[in-house]
Amino acid sequence: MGAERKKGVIPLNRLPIDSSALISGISEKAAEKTELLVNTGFVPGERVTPLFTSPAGDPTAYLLGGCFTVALRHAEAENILVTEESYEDRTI
Amino acid sequence: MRIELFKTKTENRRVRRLYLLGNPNVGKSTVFNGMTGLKQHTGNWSGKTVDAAGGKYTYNGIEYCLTDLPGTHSVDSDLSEERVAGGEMRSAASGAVTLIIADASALKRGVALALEFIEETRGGAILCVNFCDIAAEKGINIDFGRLSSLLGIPVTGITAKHGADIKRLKALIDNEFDKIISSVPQRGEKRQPAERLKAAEKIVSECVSAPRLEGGLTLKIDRLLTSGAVGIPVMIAFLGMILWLTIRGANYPSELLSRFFGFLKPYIAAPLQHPAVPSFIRGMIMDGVYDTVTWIVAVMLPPMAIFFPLFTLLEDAGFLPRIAFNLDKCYARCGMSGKQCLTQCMGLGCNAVGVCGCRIMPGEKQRAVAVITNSFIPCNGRFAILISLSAIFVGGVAPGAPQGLVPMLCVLGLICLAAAATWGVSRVLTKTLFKDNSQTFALELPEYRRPEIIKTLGVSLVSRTLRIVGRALLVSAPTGAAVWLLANITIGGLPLLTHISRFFDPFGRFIGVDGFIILAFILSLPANEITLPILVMGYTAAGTMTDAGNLETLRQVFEANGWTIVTAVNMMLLTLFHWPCATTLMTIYHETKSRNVLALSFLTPCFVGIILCLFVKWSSVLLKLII
Repeated sequence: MGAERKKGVIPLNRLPIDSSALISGISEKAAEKTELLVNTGFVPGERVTPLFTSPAGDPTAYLLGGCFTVALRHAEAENILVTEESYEDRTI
Repeated sequence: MRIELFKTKTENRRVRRLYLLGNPNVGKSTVFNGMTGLKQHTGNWSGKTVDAAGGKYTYNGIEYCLTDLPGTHSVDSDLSEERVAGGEMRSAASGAVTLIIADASALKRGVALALEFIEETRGGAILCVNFCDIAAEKGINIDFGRLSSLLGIPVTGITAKHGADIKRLKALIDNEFDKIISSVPQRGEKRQPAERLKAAEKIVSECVSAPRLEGGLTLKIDRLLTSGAVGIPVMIAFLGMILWLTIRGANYPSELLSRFFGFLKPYIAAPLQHPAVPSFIRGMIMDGVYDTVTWIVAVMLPPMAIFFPLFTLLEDAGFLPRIAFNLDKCYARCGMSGKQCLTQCMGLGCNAVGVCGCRIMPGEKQRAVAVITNSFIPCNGRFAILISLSAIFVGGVAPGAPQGLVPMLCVLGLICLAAAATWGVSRVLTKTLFKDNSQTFALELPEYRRPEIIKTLGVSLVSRTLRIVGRALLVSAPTGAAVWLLANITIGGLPLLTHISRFFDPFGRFIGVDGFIILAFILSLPANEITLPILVMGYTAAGTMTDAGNLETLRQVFEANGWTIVTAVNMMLLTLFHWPCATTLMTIYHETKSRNVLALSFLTPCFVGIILCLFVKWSSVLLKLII
């Protein structure tokens, strides 16, 4: 069931608020920022959930690994590729 | 904020070295303060500690040197904020024990950092899981024994604000130190971050039982505070409320203090009435030094003592990163990071501290811009000037309004103006001299914490207010004496001070103030707090300030010297924008080692101030011509 509903890889900024996904990698066009993003906590394999957006629409706060919150601008978030999870796959 | 690192003398005495390492906002500073008894200010936002701080304590006859490293994301990191931690860590790991601090509610991160430390360095470590009280409230259960055996290092759970837990930690360190140093555990292969994270996740899943977290209170508050309809008004209301409390609340103690000092003066002056004491010494001490010093205590201390503890409460609760989050778009348009907002908030306390705080800015160029614009935000010394001036000149505009409301709105407006000027100038600077498009913005939003009200009030009163007033007094005593001499040495029947101010008068008049005001800003370069006392001394020329701290007397003095509403407005504008004080200038050079940044930091606010004053002065002249 779960596998059927799995969707493709999308950039993090396209992930709707409150839906959770797994980070699959950092886009190649942002290779120079990879280390920085990984060190901030955007590690491939980590679960990420957009929580809320600032009144101006940018940046957005993301819950990482179910334990801490980091805000990223869209310009950065679009370099982070995520795989949407189906509801069945989601665990905390 | 900078505390010297203590040099260790291992050869003479038994000294053990300890390091503190941890992800941002896991309470390292609280552990540090608890262990050393030092009062490093703690704040609930990432990057609060920007410089490695050292302290020591003695336990069981052994001296421990403890170094608190700034918040780090990773041992192997590149960000300037984090470089200190990585570098210090590698060089120090051997022969020392590192306390890795983790947040019990975010244990996976702490465990990942511990794994990285074990893989990358050769030092011994203890994992201290902090905020156990909060985790317990959330129903999180941690099996510390299991965690310890999985990691291969000692693990302990603490609540850093509890003294008993700190004692227990000290005892544990005392017991385990030699064992840890002598038996360095087996080092594994260096892993990729993703693998390490999986390993951490596996370890945590074996030792932690947590209830399924339904978006906690933090998320609820955040959703409210960051919604367009509520967030921005609430932020402004918070700031307004603090300002109003400050302005209303400071009146009474100010007046009380000023009466008290007035009452005390004859008694202190009595011994100086002795015929052997020359009259100019008497005048210099009583009318120069005493009046200036007591002025600063009476006028500056009450607003600081109210504003800063209140502001610290907001800071400790974790409110500031949300302000940065909400306003980030404005900073993004200016080519800056929202983190600049945090440096501005620090500047509200003291611009020198704000300049140090600019280390959290990503990249050298953004950092330079944040340094240059930091003094736009009024530090508490100038803040008190703004409060006094707005109470004198703007307070009476709307007689029906509740007391303190109009000055509050005036100061709030001035702070908004300062923020707008910061954005404008940052935009110009990042488009011209400091172009840099390569930076990444990532702002951590920590969970809200219940601030410890009593402790916070105490620490912020002692560490901020009293220290800053102390510095102001130290500078104001000699300056008071010097200005008194200038005001009392006469050439051709006129005081020296008047002669000098006449030199500045044409320029002063041109920008809508007068020569004394310009001179007061020049003479108060050592500390902004003394601008008003110098000004009053200059105006009264005889060198005496009657009834310091009484705003009504001040108004009479200013009005007798031809002040209009334009003079008052321009004085306030110049208070916001002239040049950073000497301490800030020294800090700027120390932090950037760049003469260009130093020169720009001096000239930019000066330029902005003159332009704004010219605008106010000449538009008022035009307005009069038309009407």
